[in-house]
This record gives sequence, C-alpha cells and structure tokens, in this order.
Amino acid sequence: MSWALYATQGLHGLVYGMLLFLVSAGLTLVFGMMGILNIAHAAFYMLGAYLAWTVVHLTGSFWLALAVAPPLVGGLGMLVERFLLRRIHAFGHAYELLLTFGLFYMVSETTRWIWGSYTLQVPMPPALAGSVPFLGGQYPVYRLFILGISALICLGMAVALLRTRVGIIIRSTVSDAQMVSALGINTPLVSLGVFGSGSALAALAGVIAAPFVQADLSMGVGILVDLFVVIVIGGFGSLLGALLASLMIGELQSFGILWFPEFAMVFEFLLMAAVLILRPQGLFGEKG
Amino acid sequence: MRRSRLSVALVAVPVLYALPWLVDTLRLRIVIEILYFGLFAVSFNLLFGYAGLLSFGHAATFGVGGYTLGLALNHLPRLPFLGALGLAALSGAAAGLGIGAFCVRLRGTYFALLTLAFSQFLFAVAFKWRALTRGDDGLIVQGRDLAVPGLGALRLGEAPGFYWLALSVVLLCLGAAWRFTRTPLGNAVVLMRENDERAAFLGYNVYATKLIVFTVAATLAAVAGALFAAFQGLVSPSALDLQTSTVVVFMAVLGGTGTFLGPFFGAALYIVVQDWLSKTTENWPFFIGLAFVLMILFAHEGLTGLAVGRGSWRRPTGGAAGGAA
Repeated sequence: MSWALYATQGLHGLVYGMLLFLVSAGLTLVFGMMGILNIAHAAFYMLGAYLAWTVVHLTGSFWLALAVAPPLVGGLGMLVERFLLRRIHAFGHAYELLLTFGLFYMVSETTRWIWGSYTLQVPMPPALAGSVPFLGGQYPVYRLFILGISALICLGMAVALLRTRVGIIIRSTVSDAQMVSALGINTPLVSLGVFGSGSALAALAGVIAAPFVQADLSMGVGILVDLFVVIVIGGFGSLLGALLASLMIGELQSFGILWFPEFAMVFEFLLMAAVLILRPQGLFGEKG
Repeated sequence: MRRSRLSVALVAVPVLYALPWLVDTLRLRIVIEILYFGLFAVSFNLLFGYAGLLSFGHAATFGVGGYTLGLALNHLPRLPFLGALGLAALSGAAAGLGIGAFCVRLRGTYFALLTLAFSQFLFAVAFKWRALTRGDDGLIVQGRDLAVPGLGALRLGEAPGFYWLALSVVLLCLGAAWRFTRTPLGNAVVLMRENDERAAFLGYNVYATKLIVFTVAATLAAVAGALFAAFQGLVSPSALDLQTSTVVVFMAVLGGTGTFLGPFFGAALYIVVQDWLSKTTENWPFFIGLAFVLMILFAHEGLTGLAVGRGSWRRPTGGAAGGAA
C-alpha cells in the first residue's frame, strides 16, 4: 500500500503548495509592478490568521472571518503603499526593502502585543471538519477545501489578469509603467490597487490557513522563508513561476519530511541557492 | 582636523581602559555587549554603507565565529584564548570567502535573499547537527584565562578582565577596518556602489574587489561573534538566525550607514535603549521596530547623518546606498 501513502503525501504537498501560491501571488504581482519585495507581506498573512481567530471567537462564524479579514488587511496594505512606501521611493530600492523589513517586524510585534505569545486554536467550520475516504484511508475535508478554494482563486486571478480590462492595464504596467502612464492611465492608482489586493490575498490565505496551522507568531517567519524561496525559484515577478515553484516547495517539504526528516529544512535552501547561482533570474524570470 | 581627532583619541582611549574603575559591573557588562555588537554593526556596514550590498544574513559568520571559538576552547585544551579567537577569525574568513564567492555576483534584492539563504542554511546545520553543536540547547563554551606576558593571567571570567580583552580586540579591528576603507581598494568599493559598470570599464576587477570586502566583513563579524560566545559562555543557533541578522540591520540604520562609526553608535544606542525599554515594557521590540521605520521614513541616513550633516566623518561621496536590482 505504499503508493497510497505516496499519493496522500503528494496531496499534502499540493495543498501546502497551493496555499503558498495564494500568498506568493500577491507578493509576485507587487514585485513585478513596483520592484519592491514586500517583506511585510508575510506579516499580513499572519495578521489574517489572527483576525480569523478574533472573528471566530466573537461571532463563531468562520465564513464571516473570510469576508472581513481580507478587506481590513487590504486597506492596511493600501495605507502602507500610499503613505510609507511612496514617500521613500526616491531613496532607492534598498531603503524600500529595509522599510518593508521594519514593517514586518512591527506588524509581528503588534500582533504579539494584541494577541499574546500563545498559539491560538481556530476551530474549523463544522461543515468542513470531517474526513472523506481516500485510497483506503481517510483524508481531512478541510485540506481539500484549501485545495479547492486556492485553485478557484488562482483561476479567478488568471481570468482577471488575462481577460479583463483591469488585467490588461496591470500587465502593461508591469512591463512598461511609463508608457501606460503616458496613455493617460493613473499608474500610481494601479500600484495602490495591486498592493492592496496583494495584501488582501495574503490575509485571505492567512484566514484559510488558520484552522490548518493555528494562529501562531512563528507563522510570519515560517512563510517568509518559504516565500523567498518561491520567488527566487519561480523568477522575480513571474506568476506562472510562482505557481510552479510553490507546488515544488510544497512537494519537496511533503516528501522531504517523509524521507529525510532531519534535512527537510536544508533542501529548500540548497535548491534556492542552486537556482540563484545557476539561473539568478529564476525559472521564468526575465534577466534582472 | 586630524590633530583634533588625535587628541580625542588620546583622551578617549585611557578613559575607555579605566572604565572598570568608573562604572559598576552591571553597566560594564552592557558596555561589553556594545563593543562586540558595535564591531558586528560596523562590519555589516562595510557591506551595506560602503559596497551598497544589503545583507539579510550577516549573522551567518557571526555564528560561525561563535561556534568556532566554542568548539576550539572545548576540544583543544592547550590552545591559548587568542589562538581560539584567531581560529574563529580564520573560519569567518573562510566562510565569508565561500559564501561571498556566490553572493557578490548578485546585487540588490537578489544579494539580500542569497545571503539570507546561506544564513538559514547554516542555521539549519547548527540546529540539526546535534553531535557537534548540541542543537537547540546551545554549546556551552568553557572559559579560559588569557596569559599576558609580564602581567600574568587576565581573568576572562570576570567582567573587567573580559572588558579589557574585548576593548583591545575591538579597537584593533575597528582600526584595521578604518585603514581598509582608506586604501585604494576601499575607495574602489565605493565607486562600485555608485556604478559597477563604470568601475569595470576603468579596469577594476569588480568581482574580486567585492569578494575581498565581503571576506573582510565576514572576518570582523566572526571576531564579534567569538567575543559574544566567549562572554555569554554559550552559543546557540539563535546566534545565526534571522533575528540576529535583523538586529544588526537595525543597529546600522539607526546609527547611520553614511559614516564609518555610525553603526557602532547605533549598536550602543540600540543596546542601551533595549536595556531600558525592556525594563519598562515587555513590548519593547515594537518600539524598536517603530523607531527603525520612523528613521527610514524621516532620517534614512541615521542619527550620525542627522548630527554630523556633511562633515569629515562621512564616508567618501554621500547619498543613499542605492544600486538595488
């Protein structure tokens, strides 16, 4: 029955990979558009999970949390873009990177201040709490829900980017912001929108992840490291690359823990270092 | 200007050496922390301020230095303390050369991420290789006295003894680093920060120059890490984690990356404020983060940038350390 084990493990990897993609998608879009690697993005993800805990705690409704947290964090992201990042744009990318680094730290510490240092259990919505038969074993429904909703959002993003007018504007701004601006489009507004949506997406992923990993202060640093690896492997600014790299990391972790539990952590970095050395622009990135 | 700097040094150095008689042990311990973290921050700024290379993994060689010193003292009973310190510096240089060989080809965000990847890799090694490093528990570093010719043994287990050692080592390292920034090679690094391509056209070997700077910075960080490990009597994987790499970035930016000694003052301020804040509120990291963000927003050249303006303490050619990809 070992193939059933592999299949289950493969599915685990797919679930985490898709979750990772939800978070990395926003980061990738922002990087492609503004050239900023927003480190605070990881903290927004964590914030999503903590907000989920609060909403579930107050109202008992997970679905309400799913509706409330993303706009809140998206709004926070917009404030950061409009009033902080835009201010220091002139100092160069190094300072933008430092600023988001500082914000990551601040959001994490604020979270610790508000919610404390303990892991908070976020209950699953009752409708998704069970498990279904899978290859002779049982598979938790909630993981399948994560997979489904991430795939749905991924599809929605693809349609929005490839088939709508807003999508065309975003893609053109990524490739040549100056030209788009010359055509009479308000590119700062586009940046603001993309930054906000990216942050909202991170929070959404945080809410979805909350019952799965529990709201914990190590969430931010944990996902941050995985995000970096995804962005580097996929290629800075490439969504397709981010998708593939996320799935790769998901599977790598899933099977790494199965086969080499001691070294699962090390593989990721070796892979990242190898890509940076051999193909610094990543699998799908353009030469930076 | 030179003359006034010399007279400042003539007053400051004896006062520094007399400090154990002037302040109590508790304060002296804080000063010792300032010394090695100050050296660590200055070494970080050789990369960021001078070469324009922002490292998010500078703790890697700090940790390497700490672990090397700990292992050397624990396993080589006849090695004098300074020998262990030398070994730590050497291992830092070797690690710096190895890591730098890959990293300095990249710039900006890519450089930051690759340094982070290497430090996380070393963190994982320190964390998992329990047989060598004792993993999460940390490696207990056996103390050892320092034999000073003609004076007997300097007791490093006591604060004044360790302070004199740390002060001498740090002053020596800072002096060497300052000299290094004044060499033609040190000037070439600044040129490369401003414009890589032009430097290459002028005939400079950009790769080799950056690699040398990376190695020097790594060596100094390893010395700082070794002093840290010897003083704490313990070195754990947290010495090379992201938090340590973060702290050194904060220190350097707070103090000002535009000057040689700015990061040292940043480290001093950070440690004093942290000491005071952590007694006042348990949420002190929030305020440190807030100060850092405000600093970037309103005074990105740091406190020394605010205080000194464009005086002679500035590094050659000012402006933001740009050049990120």
